[in-house]
Amino acid sequence: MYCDADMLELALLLVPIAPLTAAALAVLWGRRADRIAPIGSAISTAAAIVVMTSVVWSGPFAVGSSAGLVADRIGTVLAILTGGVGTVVMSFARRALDGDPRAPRFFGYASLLVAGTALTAVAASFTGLTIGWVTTGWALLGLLTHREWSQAHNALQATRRTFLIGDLALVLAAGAVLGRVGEIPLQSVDASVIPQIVPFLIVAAAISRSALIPAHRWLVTTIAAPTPVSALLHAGVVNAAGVLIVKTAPISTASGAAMAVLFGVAAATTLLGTAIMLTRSDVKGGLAWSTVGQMGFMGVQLAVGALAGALFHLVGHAMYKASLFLGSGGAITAMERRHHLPRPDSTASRSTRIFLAGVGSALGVAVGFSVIDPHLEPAGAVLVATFGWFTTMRLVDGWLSAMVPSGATLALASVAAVGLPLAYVGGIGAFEVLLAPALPAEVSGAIPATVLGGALVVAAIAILVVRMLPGRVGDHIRGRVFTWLATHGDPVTHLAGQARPDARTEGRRSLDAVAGEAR
Amino acid sequence: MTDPTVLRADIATAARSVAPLWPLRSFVAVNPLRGLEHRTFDGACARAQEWFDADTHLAIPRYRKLHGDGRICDADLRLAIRSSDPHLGSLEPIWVEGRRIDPVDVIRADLLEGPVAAPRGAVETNPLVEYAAAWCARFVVPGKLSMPGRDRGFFKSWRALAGSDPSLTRLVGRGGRRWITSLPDEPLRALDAALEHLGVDDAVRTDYIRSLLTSMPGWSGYAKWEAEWAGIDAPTPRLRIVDLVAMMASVDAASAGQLIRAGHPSPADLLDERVAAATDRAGGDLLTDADRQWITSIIERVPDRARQSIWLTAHEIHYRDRLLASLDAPRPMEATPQPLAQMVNCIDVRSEPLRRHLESQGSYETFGFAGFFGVPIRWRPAGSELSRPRAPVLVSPSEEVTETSDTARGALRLGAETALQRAKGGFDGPFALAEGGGWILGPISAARTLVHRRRPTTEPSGGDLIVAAEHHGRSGLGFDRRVLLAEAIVTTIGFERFAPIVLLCGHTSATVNNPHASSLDCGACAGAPGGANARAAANILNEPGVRTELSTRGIEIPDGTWFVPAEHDTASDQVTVLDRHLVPSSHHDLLARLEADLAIAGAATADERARRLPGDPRTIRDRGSDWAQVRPEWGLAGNAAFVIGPRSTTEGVDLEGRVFLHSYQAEHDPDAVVLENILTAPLIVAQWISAQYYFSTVDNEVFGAGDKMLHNAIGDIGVMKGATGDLAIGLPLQSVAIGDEPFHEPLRLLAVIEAPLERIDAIIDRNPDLAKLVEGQWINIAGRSSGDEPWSLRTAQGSWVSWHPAREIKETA
Repeated sequence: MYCDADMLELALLLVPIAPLTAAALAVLWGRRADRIAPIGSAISTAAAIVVMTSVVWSGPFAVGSSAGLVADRIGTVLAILTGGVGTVVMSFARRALDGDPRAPRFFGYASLLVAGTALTAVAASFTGLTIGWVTTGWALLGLLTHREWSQAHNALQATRRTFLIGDLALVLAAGAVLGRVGEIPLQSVDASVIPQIVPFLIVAAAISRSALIPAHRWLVTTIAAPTPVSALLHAGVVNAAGVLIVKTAPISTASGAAMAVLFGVAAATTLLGTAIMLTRSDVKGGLAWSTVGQMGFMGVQLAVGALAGALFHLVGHAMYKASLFLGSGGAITAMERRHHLPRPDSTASRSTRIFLAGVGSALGVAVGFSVIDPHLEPAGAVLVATFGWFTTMRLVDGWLSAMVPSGATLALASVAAVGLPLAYVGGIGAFEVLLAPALPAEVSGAIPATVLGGALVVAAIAILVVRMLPGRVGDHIRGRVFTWLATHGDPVTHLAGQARPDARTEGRRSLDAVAGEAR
Repeated sequence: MTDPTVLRADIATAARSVAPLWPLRSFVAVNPLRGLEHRTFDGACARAQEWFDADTHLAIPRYRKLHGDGRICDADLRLAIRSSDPHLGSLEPIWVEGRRIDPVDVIRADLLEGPVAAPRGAVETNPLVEYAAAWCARFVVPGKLSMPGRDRGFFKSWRALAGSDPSLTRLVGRGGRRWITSLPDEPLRALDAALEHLGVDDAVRTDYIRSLLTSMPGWSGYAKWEAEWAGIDAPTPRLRIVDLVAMMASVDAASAGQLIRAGHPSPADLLDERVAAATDRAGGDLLTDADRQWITSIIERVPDRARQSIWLTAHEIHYRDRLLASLDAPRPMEATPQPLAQMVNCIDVRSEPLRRHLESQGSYETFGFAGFFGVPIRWRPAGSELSRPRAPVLVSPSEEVTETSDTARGALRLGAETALQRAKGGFDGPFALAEGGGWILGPISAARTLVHRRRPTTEPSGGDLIVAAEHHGRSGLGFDRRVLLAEAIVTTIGFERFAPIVLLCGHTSATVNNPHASSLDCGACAGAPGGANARAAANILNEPGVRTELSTRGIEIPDGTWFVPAEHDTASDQVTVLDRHLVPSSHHDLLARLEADLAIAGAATADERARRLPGDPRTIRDRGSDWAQVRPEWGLAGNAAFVIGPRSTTEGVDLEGRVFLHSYQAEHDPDAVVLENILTAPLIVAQWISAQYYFSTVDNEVFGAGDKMLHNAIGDIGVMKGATGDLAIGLPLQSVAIGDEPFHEPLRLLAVIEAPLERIDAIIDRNPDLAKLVEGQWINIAGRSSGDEPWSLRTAQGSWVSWHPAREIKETA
């Protein structure tokens, strides 16, 4: 593809500047904010697609010297995601917030958020990345207080406190890098001259933004914001750890110790977030805690050096979760419809299910790896194989347990058992091929596959022990675990503690008053 | 130790103050002050303000805006002031510098310009409510991991887990938590211990328990539904009210009674400021001491709360005058010759525009009748193992109607959904599912949002209706029952003749991504689509055996008449004919013509709707299928009156989709049996709806469900607002308001009845449930014995006074 170089540079500039302009116009021209804002994000997306095409065609390029923007495969993929999600969410919000007097404020902050995320994606230097990062967080805080009510304040407090720590860590890291090597493109930073603390600061920032332990509890409070805010947040903000670690890979992943911290924290978060998700009764709470688990999973992928896998997850999960949030209003009618679906008279036998779901999908994974050979690093391959297998197994098993075992049912199950892993491995493989030129050839600090495998085994044993433990001891432990998980998943109310003393004295007094009157 | 029977009785008394809350899968409108309906409207409002810390009227500035917009006129205001206090007329006016000032002037000025209280701030969240609500949700709607010991009941299972609950420690401290685990396992005994610990004695026990329940109206209302309204649809294990009370009281006791407030402080009294303002307006320094005294005494007659009552009355007078005048307005009336077809619609306010527009298409006759068409059934959709009630909630149907099914249709969906649920529901499934699924879901979501949305089409029904047969151990409608129902339908609707086609048109609202979808469905069908009832009614009325039996009872349905069921989708204003394959070929041409005219009428109805609904009017008929749409239609917003009478009373009048219409002809009902039925069933249901809209509008935060964008579904039970807290009750903000500005005009229901007045009185007198609503002024009544007579208004005392529009009344003072 041939395209004028100046035009390309303009397109790259538009990626963050179009939504930024939209944000400014939304402030100036509130009445039209709902029309302007989606266009800003749409322009950003279109520009990112143009840039991406050019990068794939004729290689990366940059705007500005060292402090400007860079067009590479990773940044543009992320910019397309950000812009696309922004466009869809803001178009959704045009109708969903119709009549809401606070809508202009939403469109302003949402555009600012998209601009910040886009800048993070295409920034050439650590400084630019940090500016984008902080902007995104700040815009999110503005969106959380869309409506003035106690839960929004609670969400603001929890999120602001967490973000401040992470932002501080990132600013310190950026300052250290700037002080040591000056304003140079991230990809050319030599890790050996950077202070040892910097990778840890980067990991700290990643933990804070992506809701990893111990910064995992702010996310559930943000359900207090309107649905489009949640969609934007779960698709474009919370997954920033992936962006950060991959963009700073020359520095961050070079430190084995920092990656070990990330690995431990992320692995624990995967387990905790998923477990809490399983206890939730509310749709959005389930989605939020599922995101925590998913961010843990992404963190593990990053720590083991499966950077392409992490980005594949980041993009896939972003679209998945944004869709589920936007559609969360359908849960009640969907459940009622499900109640009325006709149940089959008979389903596949246990042995058929074990054979097709268990063995079939294992075979599918094996076929996938042999047909496609995605060139994954060993740890990444372990993750893809394990979870590709388990997920396919559950899908096929669920299908078989609800269908009359006709020839067509079994045939479809067989096709799915082989086809789904094949598509999954193929998708990751294709993504890896697309991004490979922009990824570091080797991740020196990565956690080895053996450690990952060990961790998977330990986690599986722990889950099985808690589930299977017999007798009263088992019941007691399950009760304790359930209670802790379920209540840990509830948002901690920060205001209640402050408001309580007044309520207490007043409550006491009025109850006495009631008693007095009655006497 | 308190006697358990006494405790139970006190709980039952306290629970009377809570209105039931139906699961959102089948929304049923209910007056949130239902437990206070034995009081007058004003008395109930005063109580509600105290118990719920709620507003019960529009804020005075909003009434002033209505006044400014001409929705309340000066004459309305003056009449409302005078009728609020009959003694005002006897007070002498004062003269200030030759200016006559009478009491009505003083009050009017105070209403229009006097100082008003600052709006209440955001409702304070109560940590005990958040805590208890979280456990209720876990108990009632288990996640993929369910609450251990759940089968033992709410209190027992919670108490067993409380010892390891860190969120309880935050609330009551370690000592409090230990105290709770030491409580007896049995909820009543634990409650007794908690009450004793709190020092709540006999005198205040009921009040205390009530304050627990009213602090959490969502879950207590849900528990009340399970106990009193669910019948065989109640899930197991039940969330019992006694468990709920025991749990909340234990936690409150463990915190030494610091979590629950009995009653809320009443807002500061503005009397002094109002007197000062009124004095200034009257002339300030020019006034004598006696004048000042006089003004003070006038203002004191109208306490703060009474000002809003006067405004409400004025608002109601304005609407009443306009409605009655429009019914009286002369209009060209041509006797309809034998109609081509007749259409029977639900009494729902959304039927009125469709009926009006169809009538204007030609020789059609329309009727209004409760949308379950007098056939209370449980409906089991094709292939389902589960049936749901399809009848007004005042009736609990037991007979079941279903349809033949083609089971293959739902099977694929079940397989796919089960597969997805299985993959989401474990530690190993969600990761690859999200990674891979996102690449499929993302583009679908983008398309749903960005690409033009198509009009939803109602799926053709599954198969043939099975009305009579027994299946799944439940009996269908037997022959005698069918005859009885058929007779009741024909006599209640009051057919004087039968057209070749009688369309029984139920209604539904096809919307997506809408937790409150069922609030837009048919209220007479328990918050569900009305198609099944229409089909069952048509099926019965077309049955030759039933017709033969009817003719022996003096009801002759001509052989040439065919009852055709249909469904009106109020989100798109499309009418879909159901069971089309049963229509005899001799009627096909006529049906085609009727459908063509219905299509025109539907389009006209939609155009009319588009004028009131915000957003792009071009999308008006497609919004049901738009997942981003929070306002696919206005539902019953705007509802204000219920007209019981022949169509000739209302025909040709644009009632703006604000009026319930029930067909009634007094001359065919000498014993007033039909009228009694209408006044005690459909009118009551309409009052529930009216009150629901009223209170959801005046205080959406307390009595309404709040902003739809904050809704967080809990199973198919309901939604909570945001991340935590009680189950939301009432209607979403978007259903009654545009932004923060109310769209619905909150008025008490006005029943307009064309029937001999003494019959109306007699029915009210012998039905206590109706009498309390009428005498408590929850419902206003206007009536006339026949179309030739002037309208009269029924006073709260039960007498009738003739109606004159406010602007025509000469002031006597």
